[in-house]
Amino acid sequence: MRYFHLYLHFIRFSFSKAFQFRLDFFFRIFMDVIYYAINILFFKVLFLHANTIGPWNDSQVTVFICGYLLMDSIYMTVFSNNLWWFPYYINKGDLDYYLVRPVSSLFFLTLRDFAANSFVNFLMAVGLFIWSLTHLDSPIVAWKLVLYILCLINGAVLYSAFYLFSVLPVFWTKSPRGLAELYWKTAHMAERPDHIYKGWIRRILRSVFPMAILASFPARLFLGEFDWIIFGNIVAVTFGTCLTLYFIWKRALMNYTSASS
Amino acid sequence: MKPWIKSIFLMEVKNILTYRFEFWMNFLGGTAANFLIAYFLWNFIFEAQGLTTLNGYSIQGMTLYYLIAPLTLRVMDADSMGFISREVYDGSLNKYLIYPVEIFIYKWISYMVRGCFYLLQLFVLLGFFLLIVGAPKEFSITPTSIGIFLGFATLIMVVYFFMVASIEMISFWADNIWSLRVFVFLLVSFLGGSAIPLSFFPEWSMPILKILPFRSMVYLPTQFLLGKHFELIGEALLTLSLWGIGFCLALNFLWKKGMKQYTGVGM
Repeated sequence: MRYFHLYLHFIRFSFSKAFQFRLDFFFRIFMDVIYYAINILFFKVLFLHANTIGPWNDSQVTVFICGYLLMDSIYMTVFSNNLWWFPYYINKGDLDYYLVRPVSSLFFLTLRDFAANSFVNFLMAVGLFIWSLTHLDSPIVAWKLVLYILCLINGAVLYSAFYLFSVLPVFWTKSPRGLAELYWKTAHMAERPDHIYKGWIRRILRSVFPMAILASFPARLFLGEFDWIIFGNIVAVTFGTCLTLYFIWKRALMNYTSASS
Repeated sequence: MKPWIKSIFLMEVKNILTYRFEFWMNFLGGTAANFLIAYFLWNFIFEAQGLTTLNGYSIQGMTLYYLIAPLTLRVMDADSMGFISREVYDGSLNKYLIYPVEIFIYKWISYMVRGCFYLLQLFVLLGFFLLIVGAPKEFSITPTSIGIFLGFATLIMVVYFFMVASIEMISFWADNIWSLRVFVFLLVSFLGGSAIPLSFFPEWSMPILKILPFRSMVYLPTQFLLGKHFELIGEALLTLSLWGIGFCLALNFLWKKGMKQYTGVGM
């Protein structure tokens, strides 16, 4: 409950801060709008030349991509600002401020800055998601929809966790951004249905670098028959990722040298 | 060559190579990821529909396109993030105003060094592709096509530099404009044909794509390197020149206006 109240304070503070920078507020909205448009248009152009992608037709792929955008908007709203500044805190020694607070440092660092401008985009993503559902040929099963949304929220947490993995090397290398750029590029794999991947890439994408689990697996659970193996895969990877993150975070902090980093 | 040009050049090379491991991991990993996503997606579509060519591309040709087009975009973008806006924001632009070097020449050299670095990498990867996979039959990469591409690479860097610098000038009036730059980058990427070849776009969009500069920035230079559409060289040159002049004038205007606004103490 204490953490919940603290998070409400974070949100209040973030909104008042966001309205001080009004132009930036609108620029970020434009940026996300074009990102959403490009992702949807990409598949619309593709469907001019293909009838299906795997078992999914145009409307099903639209549900998948709008689900992905919803997941992305949750990540952008809740986590992205915090994770962006992470390497700077480490390199400048500003992490001290977070470590001495009487709350979990990981909670404080990853959730302090709620992106109010991205919240507007989150609302847009919700709108797109609803729009995509209305175009679906098959009937919507309520419990599957709830599960889909929960899995997308889980996808946003996993996406953030893997972003964190990519910047944690900064504790050792002191480089400006660690492997964040590599992560942004490779994370694009989550923007495509997992049916397209084959062989060892497919195995990697559902286990050690689980980009298939962020949006594609949840969409499969929603659009197709419920599959315990897919669901079990999501749960196992989430559990494994959280444990690994906790372990590496503890190790990384031991390597933190404060202001002289 | 003036000594400060060499100094800026060497400093930029040093900056690029300071964190070598991250640099190569980010570059090679990023390129490989981009390449793999495109390969798997198109291979899936080709196989599912039992096609050997689609819109004039074989699967090898499509993969080669997805190697070159994003790298051309990268040459042009050349890590232009954090260009002038941050310096306007925190007041560190002051140092450029007292340097005995024109700020835009300084910035251009830094930008160009990075662009050339990526250009070199593009050709290394292209060499590897041709060595391992071989040249797709629908393309013919020749010394002429490489020469034309190099000429266009220089021109698109100039136009993109003016374009991004003009956008950066907005930072004299706005606190934070990184999202606006990402907005433009996404536009260039999609409408330039880096995400999907422009020949796949619907017919009605073609007149719009022809007017905008993005097609001539990524799609056409990529086609020229692959030995195709040489008949569009004149059109691409004209488009880029007109937009380049427009951006240059906009930059000049905004810079003069912005300097009147600039306090030098940061925001």
